[in-house]
Amino acid sequence: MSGFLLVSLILFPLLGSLVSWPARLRQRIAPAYTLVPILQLLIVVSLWTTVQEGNRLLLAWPWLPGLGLNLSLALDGLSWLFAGLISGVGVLVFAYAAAYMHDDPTLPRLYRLLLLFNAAMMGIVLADNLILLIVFWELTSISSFLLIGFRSQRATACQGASKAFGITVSGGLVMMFGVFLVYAKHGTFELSVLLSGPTPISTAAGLCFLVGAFTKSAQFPFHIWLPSAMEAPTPVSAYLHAATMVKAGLYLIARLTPLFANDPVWSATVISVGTVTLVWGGVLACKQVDLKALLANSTVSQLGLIVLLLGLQTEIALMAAVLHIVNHAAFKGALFLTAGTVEHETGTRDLRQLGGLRMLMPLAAGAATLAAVSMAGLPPLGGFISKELFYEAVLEAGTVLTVLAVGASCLTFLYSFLFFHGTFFGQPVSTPQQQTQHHTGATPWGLLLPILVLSGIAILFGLIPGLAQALITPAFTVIHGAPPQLHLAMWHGLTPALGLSALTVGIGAGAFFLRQRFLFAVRGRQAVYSFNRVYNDGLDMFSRMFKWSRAFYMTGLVTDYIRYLLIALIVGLSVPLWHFFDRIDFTDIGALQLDMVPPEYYEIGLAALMAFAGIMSCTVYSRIVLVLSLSLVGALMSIFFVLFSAPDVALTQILVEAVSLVLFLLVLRYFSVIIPRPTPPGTQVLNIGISVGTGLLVVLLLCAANIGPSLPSLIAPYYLSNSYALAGGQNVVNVILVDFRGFDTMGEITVFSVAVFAVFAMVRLGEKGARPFGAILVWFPSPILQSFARLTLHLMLVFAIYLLLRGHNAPGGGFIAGVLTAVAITFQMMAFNLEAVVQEMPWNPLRMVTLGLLLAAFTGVGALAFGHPFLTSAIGHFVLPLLGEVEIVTAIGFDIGVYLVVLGTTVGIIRTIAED
Amino acid sequence: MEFVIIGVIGVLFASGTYLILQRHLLRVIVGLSLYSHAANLALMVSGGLKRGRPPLLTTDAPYADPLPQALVLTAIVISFGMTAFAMVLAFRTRQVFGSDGVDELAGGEE
Repeated sequence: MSGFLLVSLILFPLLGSLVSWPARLRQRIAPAYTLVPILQLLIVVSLWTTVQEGNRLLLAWPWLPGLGLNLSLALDGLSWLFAGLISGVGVLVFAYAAAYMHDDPTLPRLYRLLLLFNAAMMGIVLADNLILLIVFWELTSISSFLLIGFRSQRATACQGASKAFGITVSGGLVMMFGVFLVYAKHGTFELSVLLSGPTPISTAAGLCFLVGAFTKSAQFPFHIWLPSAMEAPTPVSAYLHAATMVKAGLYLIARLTPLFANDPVWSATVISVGTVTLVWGGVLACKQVDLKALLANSTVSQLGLIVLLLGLQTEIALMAAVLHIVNHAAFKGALFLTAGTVEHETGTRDLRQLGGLRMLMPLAAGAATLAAVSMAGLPPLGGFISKELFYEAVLEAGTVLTVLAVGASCLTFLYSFLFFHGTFFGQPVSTPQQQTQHHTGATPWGLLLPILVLSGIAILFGLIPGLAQALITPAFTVIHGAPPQLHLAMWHGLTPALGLSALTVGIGAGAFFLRQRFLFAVRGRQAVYSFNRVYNDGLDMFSRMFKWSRAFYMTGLVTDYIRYLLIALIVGLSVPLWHFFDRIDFTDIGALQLDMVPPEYYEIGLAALMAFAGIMSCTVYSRIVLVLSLSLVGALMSIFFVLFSAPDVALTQILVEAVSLVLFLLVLRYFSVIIPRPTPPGTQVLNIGISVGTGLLVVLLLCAANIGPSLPSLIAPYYLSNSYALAGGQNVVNVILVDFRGFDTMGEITVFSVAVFAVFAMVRLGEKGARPFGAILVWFPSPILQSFARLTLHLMLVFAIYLLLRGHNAPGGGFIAGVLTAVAITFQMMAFNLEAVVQEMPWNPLRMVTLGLLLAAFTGVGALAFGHPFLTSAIGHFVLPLLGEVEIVTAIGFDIGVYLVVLGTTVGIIRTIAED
Repeated sequence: MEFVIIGVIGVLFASGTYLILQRHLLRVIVGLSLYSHAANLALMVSGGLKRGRPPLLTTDAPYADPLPQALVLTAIVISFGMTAFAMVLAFRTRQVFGSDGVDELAGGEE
């Protein structure tokens, strides 16, 4: 049951995302998508008691256990906290989006992409298998890409989307490398196994994981994608780029913390990257004039803060980290949604144009102010508690870190105040949009309520710290390995941390009042050389480099590409072949056990003739000699089959060869004369080299396969001993085709029949009657040929039916009979008028193919009706007058189907080509 | 005998490759057909060659391996379909582009 709940957390949004509704319904029912996260939230809440007791839900479905690939999901306190964030913020964002884009026809698409993201994000926090985790990880990158580029008509949206995608997916790849390193050493992809195992994970793998986490959580210097991602619609920014997706990296670091608890490199990396990100993000945030850009950079900074805390790994630091994850989701979600509401109502997000909105939207102003104050870290809000813990944690860590932390917090204070003061207080700046906009008076509740709820949570965490403590305790216990000793409280007494808080407020407030002096000078100004520029220039350089190198080898000439393939094949396979033959002792031929039939002299002649015909086809320039040399190879092939005990194959080969020759002769006139043009000597040498190389490669491969004792075939004896007992047939080849491997044959005749439809389409659907070469088939009626054809037609048809019926017990069967009948009909076409022959035929070839396919399929399905597997045959004996006892096997129905398909296809091809 | 046939297979593959690398489409098609003949031979050799031992239960054991034969049989028929399609493709190419030389059909940038 609980396993089902885990799967449904991912499955419900995935289904919701994949199901497409009829266009008329789509827009009207769009808000109903909110039901999915609501349902999710209910499931998450129902799992609370499980995680509260410290239990761990595990669901493992082996998929490819040999490769360590399992569909395994796990839910513990940490997963639960994130699942709660994903579903909880999801509900609010989904509800908000309905109001934010109420008349927008793209709203259903937004919802479906959001659900895709939701499913992927749930997958990340629930996956226990690392490969599964990576799949979901990349899926969030993909959905983030689609959501950032949601307004794809805007160039900046597309650039932002591809930047985010490029950075996060590259990080994901590095992370995948780390996963493989882990697998190579520990032989498992299961997180639960790794976490319970005693052996430490190598630092190299840890660093790979960190690169993945840092790119996802926008840590310095990968942070540049997050501000560009603000092109996404605001609900997306609130959901993906503040509350959840950017926290995936934090989740990963937190999840792996127990594994790297004693790794100094890991914690040093995490702390330093987190600190730099914290400070740098804060500096950037203060410079912004766009509400969302400010929030994006502040998110970068806050993520850095949490990363830093996770790196410190002390009890206080971890507690602060987990608390701040929740706090940040609440206040930053609220602030993003506020930015969306402000834009929706006024048409701008520019701080220089905004001001005094508290009159217009008092509720939003109040809620946003509270959320911003929580971000600034002032009492009595949730942000204050995590800020206090943060100070206590850095105080333990040393002076440098403390100074940096205070500096960053002052910046946080400053940009928090800039955000809400610039928007809601101060002088109302009237913009044209403000005057003309139609949302005068009340802001829609859908745009307000989610903000109020999120701000309410920020307040609640401040007022009732016990609530926050209860919620985060299971997650904390998972990371730290033991339940927390300390208790969250608003008032800790007069501690050094409180002093630092007071100092922060003092400096922050001072900076805020002096902002006119220094801030407005740097505001909105682009840095001369930013990391963005480095990224873009690097990208340009790569693009130029690849363009240049591509021009070198992408010639557009298919022949060149075939050359590359063949050279790669020759080079690639010659290495293992070299190793193989290197180990063989050629001095003792007997030991090689070359299990071979000594050749007869006529066989040598046959082989020599075949090789001669092959080489001849390379050297001739006459079209007809070329085709005839190919036919010679084919005819010799059928003799070879006769000599080496393959009567069925020999019959097929000779008949197909006849039809092919007719076909070649029919189309020959459509080909231009082959003009022997002097090839550059270099090319000629290259061609010959590649050809000889390919031939040698094949020879060596086959020799390698034939050296050594021949392994006894496991399949052949089975077929030979069961052919009569199970399938009632004496001709084992035919029994294999229609019974043992009937399913293959079904596929093969389907493929074959595609050829006739393709030929038909190519010839008939082109320019009708276009005969650009003036080559009209001049048809000479020949009396000798005609009387001969008349004489043989029925003989051949009867013989074909005989071959078809006896096929199960003697050489023959559907393939052979089909081609033979086709030969008979082609012969008639050659002797008489084509149209007359076509008129005589009972069915049109295409219909014959269809009928044959259906017959074959129905015979197979017939076995199902009797409870046997597809294409099982039944055997019965009948006595027919004149012919005596006949064994009827249901496979004959299948064989007749094969017959019809082969006949219809062959005749259809010839006729289509001959007619044109 | 197996090694003699292996030699033939090598020659056929080499000739096929040489033809596939030529510019005239008819030669390319003939090269492809040589490939399928060579592949069929390779399949037969892999099953071991036996004289006068067809896998018909009406005759006496031992029998030749029936599995490669079944594979080759369908392969022959399918390669006929493929050759026919290739021919029509070449023929249409000549109709549409006015050329059946591979090098004149080179694709440009985009």
